[in-house]
Amino acid sequence: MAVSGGCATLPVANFDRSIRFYTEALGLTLVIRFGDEWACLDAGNGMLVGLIPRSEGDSQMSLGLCALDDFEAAVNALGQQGVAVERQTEAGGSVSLAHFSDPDGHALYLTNFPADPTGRFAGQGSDEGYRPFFEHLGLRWNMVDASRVSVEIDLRDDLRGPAGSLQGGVIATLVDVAAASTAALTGTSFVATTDMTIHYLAPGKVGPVRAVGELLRSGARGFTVEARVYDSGMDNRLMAVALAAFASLDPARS
Amino acid sequence: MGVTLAGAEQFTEVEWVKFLGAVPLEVGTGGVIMGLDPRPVHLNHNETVNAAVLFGLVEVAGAGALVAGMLEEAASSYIVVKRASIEYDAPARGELKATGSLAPEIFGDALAAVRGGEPVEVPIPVEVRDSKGQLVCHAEVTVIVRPRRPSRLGEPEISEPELETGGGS
Repeated sequence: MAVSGGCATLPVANFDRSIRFYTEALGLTLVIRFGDEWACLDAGNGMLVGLIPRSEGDSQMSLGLCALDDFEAAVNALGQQGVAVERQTEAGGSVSLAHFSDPDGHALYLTNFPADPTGRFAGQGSDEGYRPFFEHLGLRWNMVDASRVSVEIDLRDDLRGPAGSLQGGVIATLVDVAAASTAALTGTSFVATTDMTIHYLAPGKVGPVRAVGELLRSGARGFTVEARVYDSGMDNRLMAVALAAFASLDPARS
Repeated sequence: MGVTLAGAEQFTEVEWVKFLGAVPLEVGTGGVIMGLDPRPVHLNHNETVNAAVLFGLVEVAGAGALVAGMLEEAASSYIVVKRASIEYDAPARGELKATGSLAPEIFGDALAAVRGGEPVEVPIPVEVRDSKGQLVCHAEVTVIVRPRRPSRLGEPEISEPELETGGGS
């Protein structure tokens, strides 16, 4: 069975409270948050912690394993190994989960969705999937709703042009990453940008600057995403509007 | 394209351009060739250059192509990228060259307008090729040059040239 990455998964009663605890008290980095449905935190050295909403009588930690290439084949392989899948669930229309236990009764699940769909931390230990470019810029991911992802950046001095506003290349980066992360909501593992058009409407002066991607079209081989960029420190002034297209590099979609 | 690097520090002294590592290889009237030798920080997981890095390179080459031939006028103007559109043609690996160039008559008209104190909006085609000459992406960058607005009371007039991407108009 091909498994690639995963995370310890904790059911929590209050996402805001738990994220504050893990980031402020323990110093973990919030990688991505999908509302109150999923959050992924990085503890370093490949350790990821996932948060899910706690339901009645469900407070047990579980270990999530990602079977990205062929989820159904992985579930079938479990059965062939004599492992009983206790139940299968779905979330968000594109996330599949198969729940089972190890011989000692510890809860595990297989999923077709990466713990970090941005790929930022996937396989960091082996360099595969690691994006130092994003790390340098200090990008932060957040989920707006089921079809929109936002990516935010502080307006550091080294990212400003001579007139003091955020450089267009950085805005393009925000657009590209927010749009690609939005495309990843469909469950595809990797995408490649095929074209992108940006209309700059106003300079970024204060920050944080936030790009919000919205999925317009999801096809068999590609995606179209609109992204809007706002200067949060300027009363959310609209800075840019962009349209980006992506090809799926996921073998399962080709 | 004439090989004139005088005044090229305008392109290289911007922090973002420093981070990109884009360097002017040729600077002339109505055209510029910017080189980029990608560092690990510019790469994707599969060793190709990140799409946004290419976008940044394209914007610098596009704005540079217009400004290179009017450095004196640029010193008293506001220059900003208004719009940019890029198509990615092939995975980008290794050293890259971005060429932004304008037809002489288009550049001439733009220069005349700027000298006459009129704002201009100029679309500039840019191509990026790898060391084998393969096209990795092509783009159109629309740049606005307009005379500096009079300073407001209490605000100093900026004397250095302003070369800005993504600033809006």
